Amino acid sequence: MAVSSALAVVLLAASIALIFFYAPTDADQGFSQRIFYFHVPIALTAYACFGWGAWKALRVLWKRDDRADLESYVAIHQGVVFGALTLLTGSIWARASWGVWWAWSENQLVLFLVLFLFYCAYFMLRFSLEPGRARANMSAVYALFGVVLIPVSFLAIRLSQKFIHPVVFTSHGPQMTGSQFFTFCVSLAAMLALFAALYNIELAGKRLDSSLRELRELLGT
Amino acid sequence: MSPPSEWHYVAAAYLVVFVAVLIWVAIIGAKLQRLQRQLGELVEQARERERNMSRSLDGGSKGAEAPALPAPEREHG
Repeated sequence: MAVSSALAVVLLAASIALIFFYAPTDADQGFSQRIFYFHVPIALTAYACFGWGAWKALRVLWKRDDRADLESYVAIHQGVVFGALTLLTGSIWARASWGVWWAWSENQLVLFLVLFLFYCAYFMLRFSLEPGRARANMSAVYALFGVVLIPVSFLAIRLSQKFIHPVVFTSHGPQMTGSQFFTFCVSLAAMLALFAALYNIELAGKRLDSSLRELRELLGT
Repeated sequence: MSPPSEWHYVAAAYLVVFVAVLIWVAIIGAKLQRLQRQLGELVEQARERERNMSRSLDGGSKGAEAPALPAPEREHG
Protein backbone atom coordinates (compact mmCIF):
# COMPACT_ATOMS: atom_id res chain seq x y z
CA MET A 1 0.00 0.00 0.00
CA ALA A 2 2.80 2.40 0.97
CA VAL A 3 4.73 1.55 -2.21
CA SER A 4 1.75 2.15 -4.52
CA SER A 5 0.91 5.42 -2.71
CA ALA A 6 4.51 6.69 -2.94
CA LEU A 7 4.69 5.63 -6.60
CA ALA A 8 1.43 7.45 -7.35
CA VAL A 9 2.67 10.69 -5.74
CA VAL A 10 6.03 10.56 -7.57
CA LEU A 11 4.46 9.72 -10.94
CA LEU A 12 1.74 12.37 -10.58
CA ALA A 13 4.32 15.03 -9.76
CA ALA A 14 6.46 13.89 -12.72
CA SER A 15 3.49 13.88 -15.11
CA ILE A 16 2.41 17.41 -14.09
CA ALA A 17 5.98 18.64 -14.56
CA LEU A 18 6.17 16.98 -18.00
CA ILE A 19 2.74 18.27 -19.08
CA PHE A 20 3.49 21.91 -18.30
CA PHE A 21 7.27 22.15 -18.82
CA TYR A 22 8.21 19.44 -21.33
CA ALA A 23 5.38 18.58 -23.71
CA PRO A 24 5.10 21.03 -26.64
CA THR A 25 1.93 23.03 -27.23
CA ASP A 26 -0.20 21.32 -29.86
CA ALA A 27 -0.20 23.21 -33.18
CA ASP A 28 -3.84 22.36 -33.90
CA GLN A 29 -5.61 22.63 -30.52
CA GLY A 30 -3.27 24.95 -28.68
CA PHE A 31 -2.84 25.08 -24.91
CA SER A 32 -6.15 23.32 -24.14
CA GLN A 33 -4.73 20.10 -25.62
CA ARG A 34 -2.86 19.69 -22.30
CA ILE A 35 -6.13 18.42 -20.80
CA PHE A 36 -5.58 15.33 -22.99
CA TYR A 37 -2.70 14.17 -20.74
CA PHE A 38 -5.07 13.72 -17.79
CA HIS A 39 -8.39 13.14 -19.55
CA VAL A 40 -7.37 10.11 -21.65
CA PRO A 41 -5.32 8.33 -18.93
CA ILE A 42 -8.24 8.83 -16.49
CA ALA A 43 -10.63 7.30 -19.05
CA LEU A 44 -8.28 4.36 -19.68
CA THR A 45 -7.89 3.89 -15.92
CA ALA A 46 -11.68 3.80 -15.55
CA TYR A 47 -11.76 1.00 -18.14
CA ALA A 48 -8.98 -0.77 -16.23
CA CYS A 49 -10.98 -0.46 -12.98
CA PHE A 50 -14.09 -1.94 -14.58
CA GLY A 51 -11.99 -4.68 -16.18
CA TRP A 52 -10.36 -5.51 -12.84
CA GLY A 53 -13.78 -5.50 -11.17
CA ALA A 54 -15.07 -7.91 -13.84
CA TRP A 55 -12.07 -10.21 -13.36
CA LYS A 56 -12.75 -10.33 -9.61
CA ALA A 57 -16.46 -10.89 -10.36
CA LEU A 58 -15.49 -13.84 -12.53
CA ARG A 59 -13.51 -15.26 -9.61
CA VAL A 60 -16.59 -14.91 -7.39
CA LEU A 61 -18.64 -17.03 -9.80
CA TRP A 62 -15.92 -19.41 -10.90
CA LYS A 63 -13.79 -20.03 -7.80
CA ARG A 64 -16.42 -19.11 -5.16
CA ASP A 65 -13.84 -16.68 -3.80
CA ASP A 66 -15.56 -14.64 -1.05
CA ARG A 67 -12.75 -12.08 -0.83
CA ALA A 68 -13.13 -11.32 -4.56
CA ASP A 69 -16.65 -9.94 -4.01
CA LEU A 70 -15.35 -7.04 -1.94
CA GLU A 71 -12.41 -6.57 -4.34
CA SER A 72 -14.80 -6.41 -7.31
CA TYR A 73 -16.98 -3.87 -5.49
CA VAL A 74 -14.02 -1.64 -4.61
CA ALA A 75 -12.64 -1.77 -8.19
CA ILE A 76 -16.03 -0.78 -9.64
CA HIS A 77 -16.36 1.99 -7.04
CA GLN A 78 -12.98 3.34 -8.15
CA GLY A 79 -14.05 2.96 -11.78
CA VAL A 80 -17.12 5.12 -11.19
CA VAL A 81 -14.94 7.81 -9.54
CA PHE A 82 -12.52 7.77 -12.51
CA GLY A 83 -15.50 7.67 -14.88
CA ALA A 84 -17.00 10.80 -13.30
CA LEU A 85 -13.61 12.53 -13.64
CA THR A 86 -13.44 11.48 -17.31
CA LEU A 87 -16.83 13.07 -17.98
CA LEU A 88 -15.93 16.24 -16.08
CA THR A 89 -12.50 16.78 -17.65
CA GLY A 90 -13.87 15.79 -21.08
CA SER A 91 -16.68 18.28 -20.75
CA ILE A 92 -14.26 21.08 -19.88
CA TRP A 93 -12.02 20.13 -22.80
CA ALA A 94 -15.04 20.02 -25.14
CA ARG A 95 -16.03 23.52 -24.05
CA ALA A 96 -12.48 24.79 -24.66
CA SER A 97 -12.07 23.06 -28.05
CA TRP A 98 -15.54 22.79 -29.56
CA GLY A 99 -17.36 25.55 -27.69
CA VAL A 100 -19.96 23.15 -26.19
CA TRP A 101 -20.03 21.28 -22.87
CA TRP A 102 -21.55 18.15 -24.40
CA ALA A 103 -22.34 16.77 -27.88
CA TRP A 104 -25.14 14.18 -27.99
CA SER A 105 -24.25 13.37 -31.61
CA GLU A 106 -20.91 11.90 -30.51
CA ASN A 107 -21.06 8.11 -30.07
CA GLN A 108 -17.91 8.08 -27.95
CA LEU A 109 -19.35 10.50 -25.38
CA VAL A 110 -22.80 8.93 -25.22
CA LEU A 111 -21.43 5.39 -24.94
CA PHE A 112 -19.10 6.41 -22.14
CA LEU A 113 -22.05 8.03 -20.36
CA VAL A 114 -24.06 4.81 -20.81
CA LEU A 115 -21.15 2.80 -19.38
CA PHE A 116 -20.86 5.20 -16.45
CA LEU A 117 -24.61 5.09 -15.69
CA PHE A 118 -24.61 1.30 -16.03
CA TYR A 119 -21.96 1.03 -13.31
CA CYS A 120 -23.76 3.63 -11.16
CA ALA A 121 -26.76 1.29 -11.21
CA TYR A 122 -24.46 -1.49 -9.90
CA PHE A 123 -24.57 0.18 -6.49
CA MET A 124 -28.37 0.35 -6.53
CA LEU A 125 -28.49 -3.38 -7.19
CA ARG A 126 -25.85 -4.21 -4.58
CA PHE A 127 -27.33 -2.16 -1.78
CA SER A 128 -30.88 -3.34 -2.44
CA LEU A 129 -29.88 -6.91 -1.52
CA GLU A 130 -29.01 -8.51 1.81
CA PRO A 131 -25.31 -9.31 2.23
CA GLY A 132 -24.50 -12.91 1.37
CA ARG A 133 -23.89 -15.34 -1.44
CA ALA A 134 -26.93 -14.21 -3.50
CA ARG A 135 -25.79 -10.59 -3.45
CA ALA A 136 -22.23 -11.58 -4.38
CA ASN A 137 -23.47 -13.67 -7.33
CA MET A 138 -25.88 -11.03 -8.66
CA SER A 139 -23.30 -8.25 -8.32
CA ALA A 140 -20.73 -10.42 -10.11
CA VAL A 141 -23.07 -11.18 -13.03
CA TYR A 142 -23.91 -7.46 -13.36
CA ALA A 143 -20.21 -6.51 -13.31
CA LEU A 144 -19.49 -9.06 -16.05
CA PHE A 145 -22.30 -7.70 -18.24
CA GLY A 146 -20.90 -4.20 -17.86
CA VAL A 147 -17.45 -5.14 -19.07
CA VAL A 148 -18.92 -5.96 -22.51
CA LEU A 149 -19.62 -2.24 -22.94
CA ILE A 150 -15.92 -1.36 -22.59
CA PRO A 151 -14.73 -2.51 -26.06
CA VAL A 152 -17.89 -1.00 -27.59
CA SER A 153 -17.15 2.33 -25.91
CA PHE A 154 -13.46 2.14 -26.84
CA LEU A 155 -14.14 1.34 -30.49
CA ALA A 156 -17.17 3.62 -30.87
CA ILE A 157 -15.13 6.48 -32.19
CA ARG A 158 -13.62 4.25 -34.87
CA LEU A 159 -17.00 2.85 -35.84
CA SER A 160 -18.52 6.30 -36.14
CA GLN A 161 -18.75 7.83 -39.63
CA LYS A 162 -19.02 11.43 -38.51
CA PHE A 163 -17.18 12.72 -35.49
CA ILE A 164 -15.47 15.70 -33.98
CA HIS A 165 -13.84 13.76 -31.12
CA PRO A 166 -10.14 13.49 -32.01
CA VAL A 167 -8.59 10.09 -32.83
CA VAL A 168 -5.07 9.87 -31.43
CA PHE A 169 -4.37 6.14 -31.52
CA THR A 170 -4.93 4.79 -35.03
CA SER A 171 -3.76 1.65 -36.85
CA HIS A 172 -0.65 3.68 -37.79
CA GLY A 173 0.27 4.21 -34.12
CA PRO A 174 -0.07 7.26 -31.87
CA GLN A 175 -0.63 10.49 -33.82
CA MET A 176 1.65 12.65 -31.67
CA THR A 177 5.29 13.57 -31.26
CA GLY A 178 7.74 11.52 -29.20
CA SER A 179 7.73 14.00 -26.30
CA GLN A 180 3.92 14.10 -26.29
CA PHE A 181 3.73 10.31 -26.30
CA PHE A 182 6.28 10.03 -23.48
CA THR A 183 4.30 12.55 -21.39
CA PHE A 184 1.11 10.61 -22.10
CA CYS A 185 2.74 7.32 -21.01
CA VAL A 186 3.97 8.85 -17.72
CA SER A 187 0.48 10.29 -17.09
CA LEU A 188 -1.10 6.91 -17.78
CA ALA A 189 1.34 5.21 -15.39
CA ALA A 190 0.54 7.91 -12.79
CA MET A 191 -3.21 7.31 -13.09
CA LEU A 192 -2.81 3.54 -12.89
CA ALA A 193 -0.59 3.96 -9.81
CA LEU A 194 -3.19 6.31 -8.31
CA PHE A 195 -5.86 3.66 -8.91
CA ALA A 196 -3.66 0.98 -7.29
CA ALA A 197 -3.07 3.21 -4.24
CA LEU A 198 -6.74 4.22 -3.84
CA TYR A 199 -7.86 0.61 -4.40
CA ASN A 200 -5.48 -0.77 -1.77
CA ILE A 201 -6.39 1.92 0.78
CA GLU A 202 -10.15 1.54 0.28
CA LEU A 203 -9.89 -2.26 0.40
CA ALA A 204 -7.85 -2.14 3.60
CA GLY A 205 -10.42 0.23 5.15
CA LYS A 206 -13.32 -2.04 4.18
CA ARG A 207 -11.56 -5.14 5.54
CA LEU A 208 -10.73 -3.32 8.77
CA ASP A 209 -14.36 -2.27 9.06
CA SER A 210 -15.47 -5.86 8.52
CA SER A 211 -13.00 -7.17 11.14
CA LEU A 212 -14.22 -4.59 13.65
CA ARG A 213 -17.82 -5.61 13.03
CA GLU A 214 -16.87 -9.23 13.60
CA LEU A 215 -15.00 -8.31 16.79
CA ARG A 216 -18.02 -6.34 18.01
CA GLU A 217 -20.24 -9.37 17.44
CA LEU A 218 -17.75 -11.59 19.28
CA LEU A 219 -17.77 -9.22 22.23
CA GLY A 220 -21.56 -9.17 22.07
CA THR A 221 -21.92 -5.39 21.90
CA MET B 1 -16.30 40.27 -18.42
CA SER B 2 -14.02 38.57 -20.96
CA PRO B 3 -14.64 34.90 -21.84
CA PRO B 4 -12.38 32.38 -20.11
CA SER B 5 -9.14 31.69 -21.95
CA GLU B 6 -7.73 28.25 -22.80
CA TRP B 7 -5.52 28.55 -19.74
CA HIS B 8 -8.60 28.82 -17.51
CA TYR B 9 -10.11 25.65 -18.95
CA VAL B 10 -6.87 23.71 -18.47
CA ALA B 11 -6.60 24.96 -14.87
CA ALA B 12 -10.25 24.02 -14.24
CA ALA B 13 -9.73 20.47 -15.59
CA TYR B 14 -6.67 19.86 -13.40
CA LEU B 15 -8.36 21.48 -10.42
CA VAL B 16 -11.33 19.10 -10.75
CA VAL B 17 -8.99 16.10 -10.52
CA PHE B 18 -7.06 17.62 -7.61
CA VAL B 19 -10.25 18.44 -5.67
CA ALA B 20 -11.64 14.94 -6.31
CA VAL B 21 -8.50 13.32 -4.90
CA LEU B 22 -8.58 15.75 -1.97
CA ILE B 23 -12.23 14.89 -1.18
CA TRP B 24 -11.39 11.19 -1.42
CA VAL B 25 -8.48 11.60 1.01
CA ALA B 26 -10.76 13.54 3.41
CA ILE B 27 -13.42 10.80 3.28
CA ILE B 28 -10.86 8.05 3.90
CA GLY B 29 -9.28 10.13 6.67
CA ALA B 30 -12.68 10.52 8.38
CA LYS B 31 -13.35 6.81 7.98
CA LEU B 32 -9.97 5.88 9.50
CA GLN B 33 -10.69 8.18 12.44
CA ARG B 34 -14.04 6.46 12.97
CA LEU B 35 -12.43 3.01 12.79
CA GLN B 36 -9.71 4.08 15.21
CA ARG B 37 -12.34 5.34 17.68
CA GLN B 38 -14.39 2.14 17.35
CA LEU B 39 -11.29 0.02 17.84
CA GLY B 40 -10.44 1.98 20.98
CA GLU B 41 -13.96 1.42 22.33
CA LEU B 42 -13.77 -2.31 21.62
CA VAL B 43 -10.36 -2.61 23.30
CA GLU B 44 -11.78 -0.79 26.31
CA GLN B 45 -14.80 -3.12 26.39
CA ALA B 46 -12.55 -6.19 26.14
CA ARG B 47 -10.41 -4.91 29.02
CA GLU B 48 -13.51 -4.19 31.09
CA ARG B 49 -14.79 -7.68 30.41
CA GLU B 50 -11.44 -9.19 31.40
CA ARG B 51 -11.39 -7.14 34.63
CA ASN B 52 -14.95 -8.29 35.49
CA MET B 53 -14.06 -11.90 34.82
CA SER B 54 -10.93 -11.84 36.98
CA ARG B 55 -12.88 -10.01 39.72
CA SER B 56 -15.62 -12.64 39.70
CA LEU B 57 -12.99 -15.40 39.78
CA ASP B 58 -11.23 -13.73 42.72
CA GLY B 59 -14.60 -13.37 44.48
CA GLY B 60 -14.89 -17.17 44.78
CA SER B 61 -17.37 -17.78 42.00
CA LYS B 62 -15.10 -20.31 40.36
CA GLY B 63 -18.03 -22.26 38.92
CA ALA B 64 -19.28 -19.27 36.99
CA GLU B 65 -18.50 -19.41 33.31
CA ALA B 66 -18.13 -16.59 30.83
CA PRO B 67 -21.17 -16.11 28.56
CA ALA B 68 -20.98 -17.99 25.28
CA LEU B 69 -19.85 -15.82 22.40
CA PRO B 70 -22.21 -15.56 19.42
CA ALA B 71 -21.01 -16.86 16.06
CA PRO B 72 -19.82 -13.96 13.88
CA GLU B 73 -21.49 -13.07 10.61
CA ARG B 74 -19.23 -11.50 8.04
CA GLU B 75 -20.63 -8.60 6.03
CA HIS B 76 -19.08 -6.92 3.06
CA GLY B 77 -19.49 -3.74 1.12
